[in-house]
Amino acid sequence: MTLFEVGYAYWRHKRLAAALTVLLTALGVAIATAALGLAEQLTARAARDARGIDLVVGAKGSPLQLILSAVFHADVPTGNIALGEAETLQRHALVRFAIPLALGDSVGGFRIVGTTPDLIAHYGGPMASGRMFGSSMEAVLGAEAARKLRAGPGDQFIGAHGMAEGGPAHHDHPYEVVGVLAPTGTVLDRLALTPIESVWDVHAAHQGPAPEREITALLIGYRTPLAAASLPRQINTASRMQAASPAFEIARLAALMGGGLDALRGLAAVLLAAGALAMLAALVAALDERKTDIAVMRALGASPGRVMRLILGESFALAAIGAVLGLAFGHGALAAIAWQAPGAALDPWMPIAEEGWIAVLAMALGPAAGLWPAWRVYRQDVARTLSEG
Amino acid sequence: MVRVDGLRHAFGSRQVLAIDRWQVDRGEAWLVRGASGSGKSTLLHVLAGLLRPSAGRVEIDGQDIGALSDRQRDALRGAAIGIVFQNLHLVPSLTLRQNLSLAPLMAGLPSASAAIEQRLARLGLGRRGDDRPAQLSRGEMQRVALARALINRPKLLLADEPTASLDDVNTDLVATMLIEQAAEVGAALVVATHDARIAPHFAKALTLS
Ligand SMILES: Nc1ncnc2c1ncn2[C@@H]1O[C@H](COP(=O)(O)OP(=O)(O)OP(=O)(O)O)[C@@H](O)[C@H]1O
Ligand SMILES: [Mg+2]
Repeated sequence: MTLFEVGYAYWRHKRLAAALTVLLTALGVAIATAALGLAEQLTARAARDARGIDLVVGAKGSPLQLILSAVFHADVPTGNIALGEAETLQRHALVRFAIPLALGDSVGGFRIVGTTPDLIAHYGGPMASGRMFGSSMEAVLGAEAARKLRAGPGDQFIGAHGMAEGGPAHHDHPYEVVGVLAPTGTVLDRLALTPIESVWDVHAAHQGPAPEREITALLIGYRTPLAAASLPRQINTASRMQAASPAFEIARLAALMGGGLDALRGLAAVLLAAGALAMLAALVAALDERKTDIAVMRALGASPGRVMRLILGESFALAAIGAVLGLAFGHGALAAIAWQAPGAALDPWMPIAEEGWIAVLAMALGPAAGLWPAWRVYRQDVARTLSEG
Repeated sequence: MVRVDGLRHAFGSRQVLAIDRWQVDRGEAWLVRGASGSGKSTLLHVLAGLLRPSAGRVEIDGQDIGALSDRQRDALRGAAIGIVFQNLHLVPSLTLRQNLSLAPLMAGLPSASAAIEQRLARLGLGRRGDDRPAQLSRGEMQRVALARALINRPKLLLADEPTASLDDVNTDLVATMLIEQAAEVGAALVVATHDARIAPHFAKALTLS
């Protein structure tokens, strides 16, 4: 027999207490893992969506709103800009690419984006089936949009006015799906893409031809990083348009939400501490119950150090099991969230940056919780305990 | 085996133990008697090195235990002393086999599986090694507790009130068993009791007052 077997036998004997202790630790670790994982992946996701886009140009208004609507497709646009002005900008010497976007309609909650194949190329989405859109009213669906709409090449769909589900439908202008994209893990997965002319044609039919052709926004990549110094200011002061930098707005948003992330980390720490307290309570209760067992071990010749090793080893083992279970539960929770909200494009099994720390902390809290009980064992009056019975 | 000189122990200001000279030789069986509160258990705790006496010299197997470090005393207790408690104190979460294995494990001695199996068989518990103490009768528990105290082949076996709450027949059985098994491993035996019924089994007695 080994010390390990002695500890194992005890906690097997007290399975309920052991299970509850492990579960409480696991719960703290799980919530910490899931919360931090969610925050981390959403941040990474935002970075993926904005990668390579140096500047977004759209109608004047809130720069954050412009970025949210044109890059993340998560807000209503600030308005429209004149096609002429946009085309001038596309030819600007400092601009390497400028992808036009025309927004306004949606299908089944997925946005219909009038654009050029350049947008798809930018996110690097290969076709899963069918072909690229060519003429007006042809559409290519992002992977998730296609899955949710159960649509593929050859199918038709009706656009609804507005960004939300349930807007007035454009029944007389059905779109024809000509292709479906492979998943990219970006916002592209949740879009229905079509030539910009489709959007013009649908709205011309409804509101009469516009006096001037308009688009919603331009996604711009700089020819040189130096462009950042002059181009945005030039646009913001000398045109009717607004230029906003995704990197800057995301940083602003992150600073705003940074407090939230810190709060989340704090909550995680509190939950881990609660797990440790539960462990302490369990160990203290166990110790009172085991006082006699431990006195017997001393009577059989165990040094106080040997008994302390037993107690600390047990608390470490319980905490380690709790930590491992907690990481599994945490990723399980992420998997459940990913399943519930596929739009978030979470990868539930991707390791989280703080994961190692959470595990180390949880495992360290075990012996920390065990220290005091172990000290009490060390100080125990063995003779007295033995004659008390 | 045991030599006591000028032993005194007091809890606070109250003296509970005073023995001027006492000697137990190798293989002897002694009875320590006295009324309740006369210090019998206290004496056993001192002999076991679980309690430091207020004054006096105690030698176990030639070693002055007052001169030993805590660690050395723990080691001496593990290797040379076996203890049987009135309440037996088998560990409820461990099987009988594990309860016996606890002795070498805690003493830091090599595991004695062969000796353990042999003892279990001798106790008529050969097939019940995986049972837990709660599944045993009081008499069986008594035998397991004694077996645990003897596994490490101690030189001194201490028993505190081993026959309390036993009927006459079992009192005789336990007394006989203690004396026989201590003799078998060559251990000196010191039994503390206020139970007059077992006195006839012992040739030597120390009376505390
Ligand atoms: N840890 C302690 N602290 C204070 N007093 C103690 C302690 N242990 C024992 N005593 C006291 O010392 C005296 C002797 O106790 P001890 O247990 O040695 O007596 P005993 O002869 O074994 O009695 P019994 O036959 O009832 O078991 C008693 O009065 C007891 O109350
Ligand atoms: Mg007593």
